[in-house]
Amino acid sequence: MRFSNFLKGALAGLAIAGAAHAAPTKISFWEQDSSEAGKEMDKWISVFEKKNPEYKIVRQHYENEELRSKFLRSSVTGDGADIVYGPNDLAGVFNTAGVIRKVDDLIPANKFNPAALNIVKLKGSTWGIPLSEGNHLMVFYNKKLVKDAPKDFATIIENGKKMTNPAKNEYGLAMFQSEPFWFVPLMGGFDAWPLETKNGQTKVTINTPETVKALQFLVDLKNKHKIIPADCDYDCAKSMFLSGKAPYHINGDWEANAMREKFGADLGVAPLPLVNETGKRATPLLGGRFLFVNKAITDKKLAGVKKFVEFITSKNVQLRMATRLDRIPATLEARNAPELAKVKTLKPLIDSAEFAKASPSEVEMRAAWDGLRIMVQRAMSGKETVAQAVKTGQKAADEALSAIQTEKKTKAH
Amino acid sequence: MEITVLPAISELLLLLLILAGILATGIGYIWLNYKIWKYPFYLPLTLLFGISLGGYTYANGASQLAAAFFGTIPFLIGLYFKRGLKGDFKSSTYFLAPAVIGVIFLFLYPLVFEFYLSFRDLSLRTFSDWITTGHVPLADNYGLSNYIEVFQNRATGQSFIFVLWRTIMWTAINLFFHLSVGLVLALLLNAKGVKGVAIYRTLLTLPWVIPQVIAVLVWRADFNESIGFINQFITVVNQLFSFEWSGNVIMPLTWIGFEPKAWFLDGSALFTAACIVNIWLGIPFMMINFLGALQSIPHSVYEAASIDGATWMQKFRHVTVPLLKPVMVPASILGAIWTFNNLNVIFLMTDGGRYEGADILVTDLFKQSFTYYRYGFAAAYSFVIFAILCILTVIQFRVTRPRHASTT
Repeated sequence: MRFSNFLKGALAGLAIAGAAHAAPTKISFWEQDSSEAGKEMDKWISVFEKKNPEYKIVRQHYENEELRSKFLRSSVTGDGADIVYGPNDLAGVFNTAGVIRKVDDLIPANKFNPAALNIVKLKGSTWGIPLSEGNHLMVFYNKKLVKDAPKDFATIIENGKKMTNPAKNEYGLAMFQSEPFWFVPLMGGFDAWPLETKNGQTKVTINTPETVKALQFLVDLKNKHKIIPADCDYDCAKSMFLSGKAPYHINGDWEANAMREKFGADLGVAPLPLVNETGKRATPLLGGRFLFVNKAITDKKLAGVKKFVEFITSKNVQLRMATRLDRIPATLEARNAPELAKVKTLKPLIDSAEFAKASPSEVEMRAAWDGLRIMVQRAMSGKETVAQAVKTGQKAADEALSAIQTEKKTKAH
Repeated sequence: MEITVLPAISELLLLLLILAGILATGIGYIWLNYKIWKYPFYLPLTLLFGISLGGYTYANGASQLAAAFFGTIPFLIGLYFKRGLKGDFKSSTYFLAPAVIGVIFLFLYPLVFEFYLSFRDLSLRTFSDWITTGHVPLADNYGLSNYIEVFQNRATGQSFIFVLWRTIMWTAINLFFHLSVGLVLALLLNAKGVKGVAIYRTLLTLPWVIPQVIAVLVWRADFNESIGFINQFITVVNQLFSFEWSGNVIMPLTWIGFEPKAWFLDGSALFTAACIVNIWLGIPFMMINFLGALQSIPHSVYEAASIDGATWMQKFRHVTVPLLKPVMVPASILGAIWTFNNLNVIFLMTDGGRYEGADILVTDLFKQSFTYYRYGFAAAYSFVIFAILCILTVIQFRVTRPRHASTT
């Protein structure tokens, strides 16, 4: 080999080595948000990368279930994302599997709304960084059909009866009536709750007198007051309200924009109403979107994640998220900012969230959902009485719970 | 910032590169075997290589089962070369090599690993063990507890036997309609003098052409209690054609058992709805198969039967059916296996398992296992389903095996 060729090769090698040395640290970021939110996220990532050229955030989108299972699978081989961005219930699954780390050391707790932090607090530690609150139910009403927001369920029943005409497929209230996510707020209104944790042991509490009352109330809406149809799923309820066939509609904050586009000034949004029997408000579940950090993250990447967290929870980004995506910011600084008060579309969402309860992030909630689903469906279909359905729901949930809470073996074979 | 699609492309390219590497290694290994199979040290060498490979994988943290798998394969290949091939089928083995390697890595290894998992307690609670130690704890009862649990009753009253019975009913009902209606339609399309066959054939194959997911979602909307087409159709037909008889109002569709109902909340109604959807989806496949087979039957056979004075029914029984059998048997076996394992239709009709009452084994497996991340249990459940399918297939083969006439 000639000396000049050797020199060229050596220089090229040095250049490659230099380029590799200067290459930014890649932080993989997996999320399951909407495409609109994804575009926003890309903008924020671009700004972050300009400010911190030593880091490169690689965003990858997945569907909800795929995100969970892929992150779990990848964690075994060490290929999991450094940051996972998703709903609060990921905390329970990932924490039980031991694939995410606590974030108490990454964030100052006093920066965030305590309600948001509580959502992902398990066994005294915080497992996710809140970026927004929400995913809660509220009442949408058509001002062309009813003037005022319903203060209590008696108002909904009274007005609803006047507007119910099954022959024309018109009903007083449109809601996803066989789905437990819509039933749990009623449980709250009757002082019932699906989970109870005592001495570090979580159990499902479906079979209680309070749940019986809540379920009887739901069944009565169909059989006694007849203001809801025999069955109506999510799409059915939404289309019924959008087509003006129902004055009231219970749905989540994620539909607020679509509703506003359709009804404009004729749309009313209000918190879930009072349950007259108890004088308590129905309590929707309050969730949110959180950043979860891989337990196996390297120190070098962790420093980058910390910087990214600081950036993404900064006032400007939080406010932009609120105005562009209609999401309730999780930081106190953004929540108290005068700019936020100007976002009129956000106010009813915040008002509704005031009466919400933190959505349980424990993995045991999966068992509770299954039990509640079976219970509501059996009672609403008339297959079982309310009392029987509550017992069946408890039994199903206990069975599911035993599958989740199988004692961990101490010895690996 | 990186464009989202780039990591996916780079991952794909890396995967292709790895696959190409595996293929080249496999072919190279087989080529080497051909070169040395005649030598006396050949078998001891493969044995030694196997032991080394097994030992190496075990030393690198693989389980005993995986190590045994990798340790045995080279010796088995050696035996096959020495005893089976004896250097004869060189080119055929070259052609087979990629497929064999593909089967080993993409099917056999996952199968063996799944079998291993079925005796292990891999769940959400033991996941961290797997990550930190690379081992999964053995399940209770010497690893058999996952299998025992499969046969235990569920709290909702959906025992394994009940779900198995529903799966068999689901398979039988669907297969019966797929075969019978498919055959009738194929006979009609193959009949002489029918005009516009191409149009009918196109229309009848539409359910097969439409993506299954879209078709099922449309059907699900049709079965909606309040706004669905089915209930409205039943109501309108009943109103239009109802009549009074002996003081009673007879509504024709209600009289034969159809009435507007909450299809998703009533378990048996949901199962019926799912059957209707799957029958609609499955008929075109059988029809096309039968039509192809019917068109390949020489007309002279029918002419000969006519000369012998055979009636239409006799021709169908003694000419058409026997000549269709070579197509009908594999099609029915395939149809049975597909229907038995059809996750899509039930999963979508029950809205991802939200509604109860229509679960078959595979959807029950999905629900019981993946809702709670019980991977060990899921593996055991899969093997139980696999065993049932094997037994059913063997029975089906035996029942439909051609009976050769005695020559004595």
